[in-house]
Amino acid sequence: MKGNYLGELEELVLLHVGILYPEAYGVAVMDEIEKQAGRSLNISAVHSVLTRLEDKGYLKSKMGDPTEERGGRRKRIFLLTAAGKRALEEANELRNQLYSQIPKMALQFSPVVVRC
Amino acid sequence: MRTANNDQRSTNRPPKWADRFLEWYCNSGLLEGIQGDAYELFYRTTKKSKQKANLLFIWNVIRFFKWKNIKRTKNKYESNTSTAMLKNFFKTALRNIIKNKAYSFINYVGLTCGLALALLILAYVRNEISYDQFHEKASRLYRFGYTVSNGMKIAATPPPIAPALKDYYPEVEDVARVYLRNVSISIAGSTDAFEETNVAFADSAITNMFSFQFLKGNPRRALHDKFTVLINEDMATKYFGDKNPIGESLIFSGRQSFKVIGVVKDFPENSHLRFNMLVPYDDMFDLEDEKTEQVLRANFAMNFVISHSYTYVLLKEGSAPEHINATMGDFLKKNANPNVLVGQVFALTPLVDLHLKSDHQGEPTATNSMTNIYIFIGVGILTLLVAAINYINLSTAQSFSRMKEIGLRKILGSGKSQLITQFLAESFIFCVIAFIASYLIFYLTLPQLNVLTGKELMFADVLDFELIALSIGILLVLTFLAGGYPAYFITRFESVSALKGGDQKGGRRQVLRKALVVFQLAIACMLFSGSLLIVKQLKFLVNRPLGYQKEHIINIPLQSQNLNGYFQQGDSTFKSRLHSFRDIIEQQADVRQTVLSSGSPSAGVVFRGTIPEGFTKEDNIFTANLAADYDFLEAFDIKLVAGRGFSEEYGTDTKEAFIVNETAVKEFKWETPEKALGKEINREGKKGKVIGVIKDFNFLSLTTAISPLLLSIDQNQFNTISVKFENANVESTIETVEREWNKIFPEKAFEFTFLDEQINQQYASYKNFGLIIQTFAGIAILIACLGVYGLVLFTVQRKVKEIGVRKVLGATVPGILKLVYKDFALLIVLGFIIAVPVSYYFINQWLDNFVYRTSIDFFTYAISLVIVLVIVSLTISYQSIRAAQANPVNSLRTE
Repeated sequence: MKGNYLGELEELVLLHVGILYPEAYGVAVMDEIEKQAGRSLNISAVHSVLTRLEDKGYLKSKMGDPTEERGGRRKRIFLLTAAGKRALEEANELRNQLYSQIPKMALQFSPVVVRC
Repeated sequence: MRTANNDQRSTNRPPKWADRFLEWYCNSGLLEGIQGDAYELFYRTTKKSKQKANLLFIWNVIRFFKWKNIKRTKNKYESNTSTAMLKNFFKTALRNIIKNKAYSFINYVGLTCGLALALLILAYVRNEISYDQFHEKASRLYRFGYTVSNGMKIAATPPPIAPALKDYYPEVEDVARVYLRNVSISIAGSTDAFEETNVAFADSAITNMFSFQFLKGNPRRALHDKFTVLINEDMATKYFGDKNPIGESLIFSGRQSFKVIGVVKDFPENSHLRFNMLVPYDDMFDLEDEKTEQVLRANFAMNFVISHSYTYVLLKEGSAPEHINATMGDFLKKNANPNVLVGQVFALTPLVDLHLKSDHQGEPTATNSMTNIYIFIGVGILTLLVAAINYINLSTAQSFSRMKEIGLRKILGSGKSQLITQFLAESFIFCVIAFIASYLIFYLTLPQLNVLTGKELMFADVLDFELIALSIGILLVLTFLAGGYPAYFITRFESVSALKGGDQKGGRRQVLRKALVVFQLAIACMLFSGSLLIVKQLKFLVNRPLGYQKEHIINIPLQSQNLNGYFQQGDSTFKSRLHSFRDIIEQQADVRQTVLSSGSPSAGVVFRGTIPEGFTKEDNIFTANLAADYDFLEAFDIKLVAGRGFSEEYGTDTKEAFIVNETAVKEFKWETPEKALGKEINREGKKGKVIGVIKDFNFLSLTTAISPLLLSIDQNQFNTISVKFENANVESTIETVEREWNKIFPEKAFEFTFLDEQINQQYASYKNFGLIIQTFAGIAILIACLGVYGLVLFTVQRKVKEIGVRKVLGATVPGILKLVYKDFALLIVLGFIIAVPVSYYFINQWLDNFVYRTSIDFFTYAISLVIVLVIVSLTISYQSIRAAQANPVNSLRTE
């Protein structure tokens, strides 16, 4: 297994798998990302991220029901694992923690009145 | 599992090639998810534009073409349908094996024995047909044999043809002669002589023709320099131990010293020619005394009559032996006196055919015949068939009890092909286990086979790629044969009737199964009666009166066994030393008499040109000759029919007396033994008269017919002294004989053989053959009986209720037994009727190999029928009696 480092795209996909529970599969994830984040990804890119996450142990998969629009093929449904959930939480926490450390000043982008 | 594709979409599908490409490269575990997504996107886009959808699909397929998605053997997703099913098959197969212990046991024992036997036969046959293949130039090597005027074929040929061949025939690349003899050998400084067999005197060209493996020494000078010798490893260890033998000396015949210049590996066991030592061809003369040497050398160059050395020929690439065979007559006319050549035919035999196809006398090692090989292959195939039939029968029979399982499987949606796969898988598992077990048995019994056949087969050598490939082939054939039939048969049933317990009547199945049992029993009867007849023939040979006394006689060779003895002049001291030796031996209390000869009966004769009265030189008659001392007839208890034996009183007997046998009288057309007396015989210049006619006796082994025989007193040809004892207890006397021998003849190691053992030795190969066939037949019968037992078990189990009802209605135990027996008795008789003509045909063929053959009698067949009947009845009895005696309450209650 590669390191626990969670890439940006990985985090995005992981989040969407969580959102789509229990119907997260390749196309659905791709569509949802486009809808929510406005990012257009190729399906193969989604698949490779999904399998990578599965290899890292953040996701698990099972075969769902076959549907007609898939030519009778089953979907590979992805589910968050406990490790996946923890990884999301950690990433989230880290971000919040870091975010909170930014001095307020630095975040004041409202127009500054300059008095002469 | 994939469900059927929807029809309405068939008109609107993604590009086929791209789809196929995806299916081809994609990891099977990932395929379904990937392909499904691609399809989903495709159909979604189709609604807008078909073209765009196609392009998108292709684009996606290309994008999916990543290392991660590409096929790899192992995959964590692999655990779906196929392996799960196989796992299930494996489980049910194991459960079945455990559930039906009796069947499984019978099946395993039968198949394993059959396979082990087949493996043993395969190992043996492959070794037999591999003879002499190890020579690199084997395909171009030939050996001359020749037929003499009386039709006898001889493996050794006269020596002078070899040197002239190369000049006469351009296609001959090399020629070499090999002269094999025994030599008494000692180390310098020691008086202990050992009699070594297989000392080969060979032309140096042999090193270019045969593939020798030099362990020590320089191959280039091998067989070139006079008085040098190459020895094999055994000899090196025997004479020199751990010392380096190169440069050491060996003394031949107490006369000539030879320098060891190399150690050469003996040819492997599957060679028609073996050697202990290799010596330059010309050196053979130097082992004789001077007078003999002169005679030998003078005779050697012009001797076109006496079979002497094996002549090997290496033909050039691309040339065939036919031309030489056809023109040998012209060659001989050019090189030899035509008078001596009448009726002689020379022909080349391929080296690799010598072991199995040679019908020549005097081959350097025991030969075998293709008939025997075919018998072995036949027995192997038959036994394997019997075992396979067992399996087919038992598993079909057993499959009835699995009807319900099959029915249920069908209802749950398993297709025909899956059921067939299941049966094949079960049969495969079964066969693999049986194969492993049979290899184990094969490994354990190989040494036994070696004892029986005199071979040195090693498991590691036998187990080569070919054998394993062949095993896998047999395994697959067996799997399909044994699993295919019951599979085919069971899957034909409708699920409902299968669930109900199957069609119980099923006439045709019964017929086929019975036919197989009949076939099995026929094979068993065939092998059994066949082996009985083979044993009968062997007994017949061993017990046949030979026409002379063979008990309580030992033979001591006076010289090392060699053909030169024919020209032996004998050194001056030899005769007087022999005389004193005889005197001392005859004084021993247990010794009745001693007699000198050129070989006691069965030890061999020399065929020599003979002109009997009433014939001319042109008739070119060759007659067996035995040089015999005065008391020869008395010592061997050979009966006179007319005239008298040799007697010292006449004084002229050594010069002009011949004794002939009855066959000679007949062949020479002398009408009666009485009229034969006084007829003249000219044998290669020795003219004499017939003084007596003796009853025919088998002076050669019983594998050859009795031919005309001449006895004469040619003292210089005596090479054997036979000692006749009063009784069988002779060991201490033989010790005395040996002590005296070593005192008087230090140059020659003491050797002796009992005459009766020597004769029995001639039949040893037949005896072993008989033993092997008997063992194999026994195993085949055992397997067939196991099959019958299994079927009885099955019949009885199926009839449990019927028997119960019958008993309730008052049937007796014998009555019920009759029910079961009736079926099987009929089968045995039928099988027997088939077996008799087949076995008669083959045994008759085999017996035709023998000059003296036993009759094929009704009695043997009757015995084999009775024995097979008894064995099968015993097999049947146990189960049927148990069933008949069981309390009907129990059997009726079973559901």
